[in-house]
Amino acid sequence: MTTSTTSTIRTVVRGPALACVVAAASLVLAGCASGSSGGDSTSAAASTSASASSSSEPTPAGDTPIDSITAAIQSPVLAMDILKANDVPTRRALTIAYDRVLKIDNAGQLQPMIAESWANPTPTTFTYEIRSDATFWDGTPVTAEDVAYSAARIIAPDSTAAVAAGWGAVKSVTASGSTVTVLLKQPDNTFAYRAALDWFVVQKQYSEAAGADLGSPTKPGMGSGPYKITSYSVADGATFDLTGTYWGEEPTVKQVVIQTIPDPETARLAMVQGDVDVYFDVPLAATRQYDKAEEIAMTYVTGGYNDMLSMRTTTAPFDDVNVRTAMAYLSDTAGLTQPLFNGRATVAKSIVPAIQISSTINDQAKTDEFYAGIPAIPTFDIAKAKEALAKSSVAGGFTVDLPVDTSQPWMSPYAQNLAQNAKQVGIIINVKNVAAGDWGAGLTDPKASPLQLLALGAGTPSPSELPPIILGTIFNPSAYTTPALTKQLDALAAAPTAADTIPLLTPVLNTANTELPYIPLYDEQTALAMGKDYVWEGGYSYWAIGQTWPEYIRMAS
Amino acid sequence: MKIASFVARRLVAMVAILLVVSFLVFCLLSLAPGDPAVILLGGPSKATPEAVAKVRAAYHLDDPLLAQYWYWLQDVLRFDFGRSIRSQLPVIDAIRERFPITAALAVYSFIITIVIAIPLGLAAGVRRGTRLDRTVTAGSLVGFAAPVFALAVFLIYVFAVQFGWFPVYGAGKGAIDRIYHLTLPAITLAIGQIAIIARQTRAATMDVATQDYVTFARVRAVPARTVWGGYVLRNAALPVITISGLVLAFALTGAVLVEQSFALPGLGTLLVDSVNALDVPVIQAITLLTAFVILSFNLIIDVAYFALDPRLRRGVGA
Repeated sequence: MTTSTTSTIRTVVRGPALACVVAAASLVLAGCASGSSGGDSTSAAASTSASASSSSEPTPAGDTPIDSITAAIQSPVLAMDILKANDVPTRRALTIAYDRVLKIDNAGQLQPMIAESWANPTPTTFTYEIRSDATFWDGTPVTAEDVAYSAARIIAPDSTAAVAAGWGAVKSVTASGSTVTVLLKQPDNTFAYRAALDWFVVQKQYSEAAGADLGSPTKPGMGSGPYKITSYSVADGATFDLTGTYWGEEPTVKQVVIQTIPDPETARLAMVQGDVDVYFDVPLAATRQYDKAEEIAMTYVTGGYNDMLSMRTTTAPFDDVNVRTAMAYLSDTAGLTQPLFNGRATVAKSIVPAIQISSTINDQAKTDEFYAGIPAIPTFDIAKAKEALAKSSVAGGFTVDLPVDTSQPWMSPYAQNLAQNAKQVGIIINVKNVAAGDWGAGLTDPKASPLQLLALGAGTPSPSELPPIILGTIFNPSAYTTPALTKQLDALAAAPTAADTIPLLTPVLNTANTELPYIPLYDEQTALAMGKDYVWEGGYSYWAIGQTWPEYIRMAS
Repeated sequence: MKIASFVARRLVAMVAILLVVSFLVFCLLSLAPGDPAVILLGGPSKATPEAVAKVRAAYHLDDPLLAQYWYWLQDVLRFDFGRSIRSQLPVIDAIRERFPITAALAVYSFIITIVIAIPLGLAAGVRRGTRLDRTVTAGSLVGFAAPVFALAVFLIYVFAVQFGWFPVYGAGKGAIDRIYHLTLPAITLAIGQIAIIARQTRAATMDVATQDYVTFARVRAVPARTVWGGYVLRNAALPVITISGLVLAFALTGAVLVEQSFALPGLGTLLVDSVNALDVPVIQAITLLTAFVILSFNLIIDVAYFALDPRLRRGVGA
C-alpha cells in the first residue's frame, strides 16, 4: 500500500446493499443497494451536466508508479468467472484480470481491445480480428479459438449463466484463422456492446481442465489482462499484481487489492483512516457523511438506474389513464431529490435511463432536442391531480397497497410522501415494507398490488434495451400493450445499431409518456469515493463497469 | 455408564431433530416468495422463460418437494452440501472459509464476557443494594439496550480512527493479526453478552448467598474464597452455565450486525446474503450447522450439570 515514491495508499470498494446488486452488463432489477452503480463521468458530465465533484479536483501527477491500492466493494467477489457471477462488485474484479474482446470508453463508445478491429457487415453478422501480440499469463498466445470459446460457453445449451440473457440473439460463434465471427438469429443492436461488457477472454485449455471449478479460489482462471490473480477468496477478497508482460500499456498501479466492506459508514471510516483508497458505488443516501470528509474526494456522475412507479393497466382503477395521470401529479419527484438521494439524482424524463440516450446521441444539444420532442411527465400539482381524478370513474378516490423494498432506502420515504399527497385527493395508499424477495416476487405476480415501485439498471448504452422488455412480454409489470406499440417496439429491437434507435424511440416514448403505464421518477447518479492522494484520470464514468479501471488511477499532484 | 447412556440417547435425538429442522427449513424456503432461478438470472427483467427453465432443471427446482429434499439429504450424508446457486461454488467451501472467522469472534467475545461478567455479577449479587450493585445493574441495562451497529461505529471511530489502536475492518490473517483485528468486534459483541450474563449471575448469586448453608459456612469461619468459590459460585453456576452456553451458541452461529459493521466475512453475513438471494443450498447448510451447534451446546451444558451437581448424576437413571 505504498507508492514507490513514499506515500501509503489503500483502496476499497463496496456492495447491498444487500448485496445489492445490479447486473452490470445487462438490464437488471435493482434489488440491492440503494441503487447506485457505475456511472459515466466524462460523457455524463458533458451530456447531462450531472457530473460533479464535491471537492476541488486535484490533477494527476503523471505516471508516478503506485505500489498498491486497496479498493472496497459492498458485496463480495462471488467468482472469478463471468458465467458464475454477473453482479457489479464481481465485475470490478473481473475487469482487472480479464481482457474483453472490445472495451468501452467513458462516452459509451466501443474501442479495440483483444480484437484490434471489428466489423458489422450485415445486421446479423459481427466479425472480430484478434490481435496477434496478446498472451495469457502463462505466456501462451491468445488465439481466435480461445476468444470464440469464451463466448461459446456463454451460449452453450446447458449454460445457466445470468449473463447469457443478453446473448439470446446469438446463433453461433466461430473462429477461423485470426477472425471470430458471430452470427445472430435476428438483428440486436445491444449485442455490439456485449463484446465489451460480457465477453471476457479466458484460455480454453485452462478453462476446460478446471471444469466446474473455474472461477473458484483454487481455479480462478487464466486471462490475458494486465493483472494476474495473486490470491482470491470469496470471504477475504482478491489481490492482483501486474504481470509485466501485458500486450498493451501497463497501468501505473502495481498491485490492486479488493476487499468487501458491506457497511458504507465503516468504509468511510476506513477511508478516513487511510486503509481504503477507492470505494465504488457509494449508496447515495450515505453520501452526506462522505461529502463532509476532508480525506475523501467524491465524484458523482450520471448513473444507469432509472426509478419508476408502475401501475398495472389491466387492473382497476389503473386501467384508466386519468387515474395514472393523477398519480403522476401526486408524485413530488423533484422535491424529494434532496432528501432521498442527497440531491444526487435527476428527475427522469422517460422510462429509458438518461445515460443510454446521452451515450447514444453523444451530443448535449441534440440530447436536449430529443427530450424536447417527447411529452413531459406531469409534475407535482395536487389541484391537477384532483382534476384528473375527477375525470375518472373513481373521482372520490380509492385504496391501494404499495409494497416497498426495505433494502432500497429511497423507496419507503418516497412511498410515504406519495401516500400523504394522495390522501389529499381521497386516495389511500397503504405502504407495505417488504423484504427484497417479496418485492421482487410481487412485480410479476398478478395477484400482487397493481401499484409498484421499480428500479432498473442500464446494461448497455443502447436505448433500445429497456422498452421492449418492460412494455413487451418478458417483464411488463404494467401489462400495458397495444398493437401499434408492439409494432414500434419490434422495430426498435430490430434497429441495426444503437444510433438507429433514436428516431424509433420517439414514438415509443410518446406513447409511454402520454399513457403513463410507468411514471418515470429518477435517474440516479453514481458515486465514487477516492482518497485524496489519487485521481481518476480522464474522469469517472458509469461505463467504468466495463473498463480495466486501475488504468485510470493516478497519483494526485 | 448412566451418563454415557444419557448422552447416547441425546445424540440419537439430535440426529432426529436435525432431520426435522432441515426438512422444515426446506419447506419454509419453498414457500418463500420469489424464484431462485429468477434471482440467479439477475431479476425478472432478464429471466426469459427458456433461461428460467434451464436453471430450474439444473437445480431440480421443478421436482416435487420431497424429491428435492431427498436429493439434498443423500448428498449431505456424503458431506456434499451442493453448490451455491448464487456463486455456483461448493457450499462446503464457503462454510469452511467463513466458520473460522465467526468461531474466533465468538470465542474471543465469550472469553471477554466470562472474564468480566461473572466476577461483576457475583460481586453485585453478594453486595446487593450497594453502589457496586446499582452500577452493575445500570451498566447491564445500558449494555443490553445499546444498538450493536451504533456501538460498533462508536468503537471504530474512537479506537480505530481517533486513537489508531485497532484496524477499522477486516478479519486479519494469522493468529496474532486475527486477534488484533477481532478485538473491537469481540468487545462490541461482548458488551451485550456481559449484560446478560452479569445479570443472570447476580440473580443466581443473590439466591444462593441467602441460603442457610452459606450462612453456616460463614459462621464456621470457612475462608471467604471457599465460601464464594466452592459454595456460592458452584451452586449459582447452573443457570449461569445455561445462559452462557446459549450466548456462545448464538455468537457461533453468526453475529450478523457485528460482522456487517466490521466487514468480517463470517457466517452471519453469508446467511443474510444467501437469504436475500434465496440461495437454498447455502441457507440449508448454515441452518443445519446452526441447529447442530445449538444442540451440541445444550448437550454439553447438560453434561456440565452432572459434573457440577451430584444430585443430577444420581437422578439420571431414574
